[in-house]
Amino acid sequence: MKLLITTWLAALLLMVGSQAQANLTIEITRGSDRATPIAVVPFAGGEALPEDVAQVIHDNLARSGYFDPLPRGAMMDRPAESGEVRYGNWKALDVRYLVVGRASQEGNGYRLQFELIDVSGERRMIGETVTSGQGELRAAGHYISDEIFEAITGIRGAFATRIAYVTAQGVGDNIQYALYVADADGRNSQQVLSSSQPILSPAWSPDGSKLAYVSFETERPAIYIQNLATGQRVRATSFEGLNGAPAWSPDGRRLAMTLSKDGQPEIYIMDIGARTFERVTNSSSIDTEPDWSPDGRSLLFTSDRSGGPQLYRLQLGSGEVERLTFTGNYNARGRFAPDGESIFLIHRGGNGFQVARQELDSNRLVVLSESRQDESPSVAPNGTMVIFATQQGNNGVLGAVSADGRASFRLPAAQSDVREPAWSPFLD
Amino acid sequence: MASHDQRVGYGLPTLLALLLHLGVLVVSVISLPASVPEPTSSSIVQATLVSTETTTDRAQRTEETRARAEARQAEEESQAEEQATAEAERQRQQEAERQSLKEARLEAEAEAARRAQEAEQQASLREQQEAERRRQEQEAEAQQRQEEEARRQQEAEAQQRQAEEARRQQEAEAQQRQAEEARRQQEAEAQQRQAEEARRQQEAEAQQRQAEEARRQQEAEAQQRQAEEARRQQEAEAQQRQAEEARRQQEAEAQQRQAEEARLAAEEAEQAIREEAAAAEARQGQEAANAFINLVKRAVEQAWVIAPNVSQGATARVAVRLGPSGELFSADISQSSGDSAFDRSALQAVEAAAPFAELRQLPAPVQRDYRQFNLLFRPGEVR
Amino acid sequence: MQFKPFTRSLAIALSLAFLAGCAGKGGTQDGSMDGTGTGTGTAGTGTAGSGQVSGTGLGAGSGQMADSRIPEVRTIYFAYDSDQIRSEFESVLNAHARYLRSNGSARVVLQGHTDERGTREYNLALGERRAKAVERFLNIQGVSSSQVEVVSYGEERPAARGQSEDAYAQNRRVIFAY
Repeated sequence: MKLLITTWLAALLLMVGSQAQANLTIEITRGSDRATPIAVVPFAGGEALPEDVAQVIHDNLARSGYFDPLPRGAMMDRPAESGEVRYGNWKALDVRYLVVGRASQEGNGYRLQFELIDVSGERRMIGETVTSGQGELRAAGHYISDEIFEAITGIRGAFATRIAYVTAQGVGDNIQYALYVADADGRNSQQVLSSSQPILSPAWSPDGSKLAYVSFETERPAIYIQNLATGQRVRATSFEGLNGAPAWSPDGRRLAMTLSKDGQPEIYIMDIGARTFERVTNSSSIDTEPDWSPDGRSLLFTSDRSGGPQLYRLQLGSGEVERLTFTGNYNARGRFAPDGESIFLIHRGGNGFQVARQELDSNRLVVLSESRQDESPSVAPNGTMVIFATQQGNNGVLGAVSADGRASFRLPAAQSDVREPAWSPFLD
Repeated sequence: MASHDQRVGYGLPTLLALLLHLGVLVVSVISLPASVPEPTSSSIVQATLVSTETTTDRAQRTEETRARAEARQAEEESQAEEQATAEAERQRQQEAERQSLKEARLEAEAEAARRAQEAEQQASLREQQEAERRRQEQEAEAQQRQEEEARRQQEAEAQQRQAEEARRQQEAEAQQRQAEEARRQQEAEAQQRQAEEARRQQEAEAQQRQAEEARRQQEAEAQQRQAEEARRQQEAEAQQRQAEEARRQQEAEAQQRQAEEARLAAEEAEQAIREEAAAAEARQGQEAANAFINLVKRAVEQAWVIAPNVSQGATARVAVRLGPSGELFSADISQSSGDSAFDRSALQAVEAAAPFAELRQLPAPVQRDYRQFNLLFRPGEVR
Repeated sequence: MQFKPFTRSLAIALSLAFLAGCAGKGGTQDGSMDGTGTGTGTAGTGTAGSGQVSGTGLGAGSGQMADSRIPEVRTIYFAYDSDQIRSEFESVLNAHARYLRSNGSARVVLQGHTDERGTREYNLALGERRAKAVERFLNIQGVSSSQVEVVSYGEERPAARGQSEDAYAQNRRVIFAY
């Protein structure tokens, strides 16, 4: 009996003792919002190649808004692999991640080898060897950027995607319009269509192979679908009145659009294969700018049935229409985030027209951009960034802002007076 | 063995032999100086003193001893200084303590007074409320009684009216009969009329008596009721008196309670003072530890780059172990947030904030307690 | 300035005003419309600017000359966010209505435009609304709908560049394109 009691007491004391030691918990409730410091060391042997792949990676990471890459001038040495890294040097600069690599020519193409290193933990995270063909170095850089981005943030990278946009050169009645497709960083632009009449609302098909857009080339707006690889195109609609705002369903088989053939602008859904049209809104007001939810079961659209433009959601199964925006008196051109939990839109407030995000469960609206003349927001397929058109002086430019509003910047474009950007889906 | 006859002197060999013997004697008698016996382990200081005395380093030793003496003097002086400053410190602390004790006592007294006041106030409040309630009850009762009164009066009046009605009816009947009788009498003789009259008078009287009876009954009832009234009034008064009694009792109880509370307050104040004194000591040790905790917290917060797209309510717990000089032995996720990017950012914050050299500034016995701790990363509303 | 031509023009203007009982409200355009505006002055306060007299004369509806010629003024302007026909343009619309009624083979395309503020597709719809408001007006005036077509360019074809209220006002218009 005594033995039992003493052993039990001893066990208790032991537990209490060990507990007392590990009991101290310090709460860390604040940190900094700043972008993660990272260093992308120029790849060894990379000077001999026509493209500076490390710079492509550096710029991609910076443009995402989540990273703060170290300028090359601040690097004390340039390791090419994890074995050569002197961690003390990088810790002194408070660099948290390090990208090192080698680049060399191989046959008709190139061979790139990279490693991502966790500096504080002093360990290698991922490493890969990538081969690319002639002229594909930038694409290889985008691929590596995607790998790095996903390894650190857990979010799929969108650096290997593309954007479409419209340009307008000239004034008055002599404007020349053109539709371009370029890499997501604005490089490698290719002209898709040129016209003396306005072009609007480019929209990527979900498989990234086609663009739908509105063209006035017949002196009336009509919707066209063009295959990017072949350049072939089809005129999908040419009704009387408005034909506009084409939006692809997630399965790529239907197109939502605005038609005013019945008297006022309404939303219709076209079955592309069958060429049939179904009208889904019915009001005496303007209903336009539809966008499909990622699950394909509802449509977001702009309507001024309550007096001014606001965003509404139509459930395709039940036909129920629900108003979503109540902040301010102008909310239009809504676009779903890829996770379907928030929408990006143009909101007119005290600072003019700005890109904003609204959470769908709380209906809380947050203005993201700092410019004042924004339009046409388009969301990256990983939901981390939004590009949009805005003004710089009298010139149209493309801006970008991270989905949480932390970082914002201008996108370089080879042309001037750029508008109507559209971000492609993942292209794999 | 002397083949030659040589003259061998016995002097030298004898001398040598003597010397030899003397030398042996000397050596055996004179002993080398022995080492000092080691002190027993019953002394407090466990140290063995080894003396390495030789004649050659006596000069060196004197130097050493002088140097040592000087050093010791210097030490003593500095020690004396330290002691003096320590003394001064201690005095100052004592003063501070005394001050704080005095203040604590004053505070406690004030507290006690305040609490006594509050108790009083509460008791009087309770009293007032009680009186109010009772007054209200009485009013209700009085009202009820009034209503009953009125009702009873109405009943009495009704009864009176009924009695009158009955009387009227009967009179009418009587008149009718009189008429009949008169008619009959007109046919009959005067005696019959007289007899009839007499009978009628009797009847009338009888009726009158009945009416009077009824009236007397009513009066009796009325009197009964009055008597009941009086009784009820008395009961009411008795109740009032009881209520007053109860109230007086409660007052007495309240006073008792007040006295109790005042006493308890005084006791508590005393205990508080005692506890303060004990706590003051512990506090000093704790302050140093708190400074270290704050330092760790601030350093980690400064070094924490929060991962993007963090979901609301994400928390991660990191178990940290430090070496004796505050260097990071290990930092592990003991409770993951479910988001590997968030977890990694937390680990990186600790790794970047380490080493925590300030650990050595803690008092030695406390250091060990702070070489192991947890960090709970829970961002507030960052954006 | 020569006195004689001035008084002559003034006399004509006054008589025409009397004849047609024109309801000149004396309103002026927002901003500066280089020559395409219709500033009708009230009688007496001769705002005889350059070459406006003949314009106003016709606009005030003398009724004789308009029918065989396409009316000169072919643009009407709108207020922000509005598709309401402003009263100062009713005379312009009436002139076009008269012309179309008397020339059954004439066709007109009403081009609706908006200023650049707001989203593009919504502005296409707004432009169409403005053009349709003009179309309705013409229909009420007896113009057959087979003669009228409506097209909207939204903000795609601004008449004036820039972000001033002036520029915006010049862009909010419907054009009669014959």
